[in-house]
Amino acid sequence: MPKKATSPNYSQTYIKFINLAQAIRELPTFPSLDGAEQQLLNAFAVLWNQKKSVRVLEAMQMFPDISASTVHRRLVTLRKKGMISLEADEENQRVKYIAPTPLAHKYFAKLGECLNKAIAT
Amino acid sequence: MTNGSHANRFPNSLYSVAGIALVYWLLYQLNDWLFTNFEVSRSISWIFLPAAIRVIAVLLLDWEGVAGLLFGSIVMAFPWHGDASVNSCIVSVLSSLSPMLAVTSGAYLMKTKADLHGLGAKQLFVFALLGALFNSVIQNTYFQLSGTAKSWLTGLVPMFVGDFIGTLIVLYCASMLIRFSLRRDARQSSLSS
Repeated sequence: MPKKATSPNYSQTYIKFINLAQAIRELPTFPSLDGAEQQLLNAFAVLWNQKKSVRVLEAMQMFPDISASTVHRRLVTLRKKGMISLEADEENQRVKYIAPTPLAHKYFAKLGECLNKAIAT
Repeated sequence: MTNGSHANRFPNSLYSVAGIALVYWLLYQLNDWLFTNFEVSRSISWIFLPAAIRVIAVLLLDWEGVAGLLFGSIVMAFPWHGDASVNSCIVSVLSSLSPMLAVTSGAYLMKTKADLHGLGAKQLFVFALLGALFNSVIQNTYFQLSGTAKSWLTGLVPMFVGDFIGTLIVLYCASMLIRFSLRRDARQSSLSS
């Protein structure tokens, strides 16, 4: 960093470059979702739209073509990507509900916009 | 440190300075080509892509980055002023030093590590914001004091917005490029295995 007035060490510059590239890579955008994640998110969106709550255990049994362990793994990745949050039941802390995050709302709004544009053209 | 190692470093420093100056100049040309309509004056634009290089150069190369920016600024100013006037040299010095002030103060405020370990998107935004702020305030104060500008705000606002937006555009393009190349590498390695 600028504190040092001495000429830079080039291996240090390379480390800085790697860290800077990592930070640039992590700039916030919509996370890329794989097929299973999209399928899960779409199914949840339908239920959220009907004001229904989705429990984690229910979600794991919801998809006949996706195994429960895969659903669980995808729930973890969706959570990491900031698309869903898990909220504990007020009466029973062991029961977790899947809830959309503001990013998920934006994601669906953006999809809706794209769809409207596609219909309009 | 021996004199030999200093001697070995000299060409590397020269390459770094020349590289930064070249990228700075290229982005300036690209900006001029893409965003001519956004220009307020020769040195102020509502979108200014080279602003990104100012912050990145100093983050990566410290004073060598400043030297590269200074060299690039003087080269860019030369075609318009011809005689490389004192005024354009002062503006070049100010625009090269302002990212150092931004990075130093940002690193102090956010306690950024020397090797940038743990640097995240939020910190990058802050560096971009500080870079735009320091550059626009310092340069426009000079324009005001030297009588080049009539009003302080009319130059400051577009320069601040231009530097910030320009930095974000370049960072996002770099981000997409990195993601694309990583995805392509992953696809190639999965195909070959």
